Amino acid sequence: MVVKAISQNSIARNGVGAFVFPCKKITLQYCNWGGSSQGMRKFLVSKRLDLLGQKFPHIQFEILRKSGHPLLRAQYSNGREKVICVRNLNIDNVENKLKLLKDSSGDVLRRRTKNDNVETLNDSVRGIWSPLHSQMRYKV
Amino acid sequence: MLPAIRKNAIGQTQHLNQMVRTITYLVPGSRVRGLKREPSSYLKSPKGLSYQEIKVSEYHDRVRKSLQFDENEIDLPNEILLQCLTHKSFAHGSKPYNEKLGLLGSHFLKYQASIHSIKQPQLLSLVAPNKLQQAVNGLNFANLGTQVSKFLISKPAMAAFVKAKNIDSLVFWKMKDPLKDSHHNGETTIFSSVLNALVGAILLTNGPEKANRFVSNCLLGVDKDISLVKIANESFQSSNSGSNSTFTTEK
Amino acid sequence: MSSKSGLTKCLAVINGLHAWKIKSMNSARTIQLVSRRNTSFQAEKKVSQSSETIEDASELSKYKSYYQELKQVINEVPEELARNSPGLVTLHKRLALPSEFQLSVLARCLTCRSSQLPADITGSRQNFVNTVPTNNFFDNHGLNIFGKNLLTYHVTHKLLDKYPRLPTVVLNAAVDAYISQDVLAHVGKTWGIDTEKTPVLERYLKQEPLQITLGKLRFFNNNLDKTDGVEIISSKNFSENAAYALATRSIIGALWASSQDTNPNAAFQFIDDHILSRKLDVSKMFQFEQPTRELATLCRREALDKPVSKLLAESGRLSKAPVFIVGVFSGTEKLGEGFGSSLKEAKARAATDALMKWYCYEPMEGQTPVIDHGAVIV
Repeated sequence: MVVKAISQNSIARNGVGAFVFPCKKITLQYCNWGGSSQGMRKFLVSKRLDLLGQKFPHIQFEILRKSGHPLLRAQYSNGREKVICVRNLNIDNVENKLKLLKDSSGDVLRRRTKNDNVETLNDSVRGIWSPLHSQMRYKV
Repeated sequence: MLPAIRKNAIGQTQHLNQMVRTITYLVPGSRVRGLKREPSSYLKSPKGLSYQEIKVSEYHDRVRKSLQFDENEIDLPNEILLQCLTHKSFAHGSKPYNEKLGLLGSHFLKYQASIHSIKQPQLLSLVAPNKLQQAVNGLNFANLGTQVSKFLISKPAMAAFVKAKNIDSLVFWKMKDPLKDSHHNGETTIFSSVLNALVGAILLTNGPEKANRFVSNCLLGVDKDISLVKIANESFQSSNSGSNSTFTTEK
Repeated sequence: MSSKSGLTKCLAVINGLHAWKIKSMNSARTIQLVSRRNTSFQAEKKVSQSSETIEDASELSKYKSYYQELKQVINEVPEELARNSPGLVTLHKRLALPSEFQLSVLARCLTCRSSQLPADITGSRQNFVNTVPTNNFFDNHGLNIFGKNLLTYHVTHKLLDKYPRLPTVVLNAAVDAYISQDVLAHVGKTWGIDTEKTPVLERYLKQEPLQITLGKLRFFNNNLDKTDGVEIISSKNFSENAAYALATRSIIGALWASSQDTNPNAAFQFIDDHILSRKLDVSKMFQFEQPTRELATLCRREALDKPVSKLLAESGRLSKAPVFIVGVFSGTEKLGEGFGSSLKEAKARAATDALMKWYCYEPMEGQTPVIDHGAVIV
């Protein structure tokens, strides 16, 4: 009759200790013929992608030629995927969308309500107020 | 007026606000159902050594000498040394015991033994006839998981080491059934836990560097008279005599 | 268009041959599995008549050489090829591994021994399409064992340093909470390791460069062909989680191996950063059966005064929702405090609280190491 253990799993906290970049792969899909891919094609022939690749060596960039509208497809370490259609966008807008995908954590976007701004795994540092421990006793 | 503090039979103090006088009768000798035993009758090792009358010169210094603590510059306090040599079964765990030190020590020893194995130049195992697995940075990882490397820190090998060092008579534990043989009482487990606990205690009090030196000098040293490597090799050769052993790796 | 139809025909032929080979081995399950696939190609197979067989044969030999090359590369990864593998390079960068950690070693960490199939499952190595069967010349078996030893030692040591008085069962459960197979598999997934899911034939048809597959996790994939809806459920050793955990442990083991000359603490630092930084509340892992009795035994062992429970505050004793606050004292010192809707409950909570404060004690930084006497045995 000694103490028993309840098995639990530890919870990941990316950024405490090591930070593993969540975006692991971005696929740039373009069409050689379609007009909607104009901006994307310009982006691909410019130096911008090279610079991005040098700046973020932890992201795998893949270029895919496929007919249809151009797409940006990003894969994240949480197993999710985000896709943005960049049809008829100019070169700057394509780059902005790419950066948007790169900076995303891969989680589903949610709107925070007023009192739901903080989410934490830790207990409150202040503790919970107790009427039985306060200086002034309330008599019931 | 009553005195503020009373002493009861086993020497516990009682406070003023609990005016209870307790008298405990302690039975000497063997166990009587429902009665408390006198400590001196159960605080004894299987070899008849009394826990209460341990002499530093005969007990602690003997352990220190046989495990060459001075040569490895290891300083282990007396009470921790005694804790390492006390098993959980002794006196129903009422004295400090070695379970957790043994756990830490076994993990440390496993880690050190695997380093020892991967640094072996000759391959203990061939993954296929005439084909060796490629080494990483000069370390042969194919040596791990082989019979020899497993036997190096197995319970029988460690128990044999403790016996060869003559520490086994100093261990405090309780036999399951004193009439049966040592195998039934799990002697190897007890002795291996003692060695593990010693390693764990050295690791906690003296730091990883000294523990590392102690393990590689005293336990895994090839040139020593008594070492785990030697014990493992000897017993392995005797069990595998005849068969030219090319040990296969196991899943 | 014409080249594509040629390829599909070839696919049919190869698949047909494939199935024939499997049929020759007598494994009932695989026959079922393949015969279904076989029928779907039968119509196409008839179309490809003898006139094209010569072309197909050359296509087949090309496929065969691709397969052989792939096998050779996985069995002995050349560093130059590994340097061109986007998966490996990005993984290396993502984990911020040191430059001594070679990419070919990283590729080795991703080759599980289960991808080398035991003879009784396959009989032949030909029917296994998803990953290339490998030899054990270049797998992560030893690295995994070493990584496991390293992890268990370091995590146990760190936990014991932080909480010297944890009972052994709780300590083991806490170590498990950090390095159990599922947790390590999750770590591996968040590192962005992909599994190899494309069959070799498809890779050949896509003309996929050999280095692409090096950056993916190779293990015995149970789902031979997901589109068929057929899955072989076999022992746990082959599960995806097991493979991920193997890869995670091997990377840690290989990091130790490659950095021990330059920076011996790199692997330990890596474990601290990636594994021990995870959140675990040890106080949630205790389950007491008789806390008051255990506390009394503890006090006796540590030569403290007998624990006495005292009522500190109460509210609504006669109502339907009373609250009692009970403190447990040893002499004049308060050991713990608990609440409850009955005196008994509050007393048990107070004893539990006192025990938790004992077991979850954390020494200050720089204090001399605390060596615990062991958990209380009631």
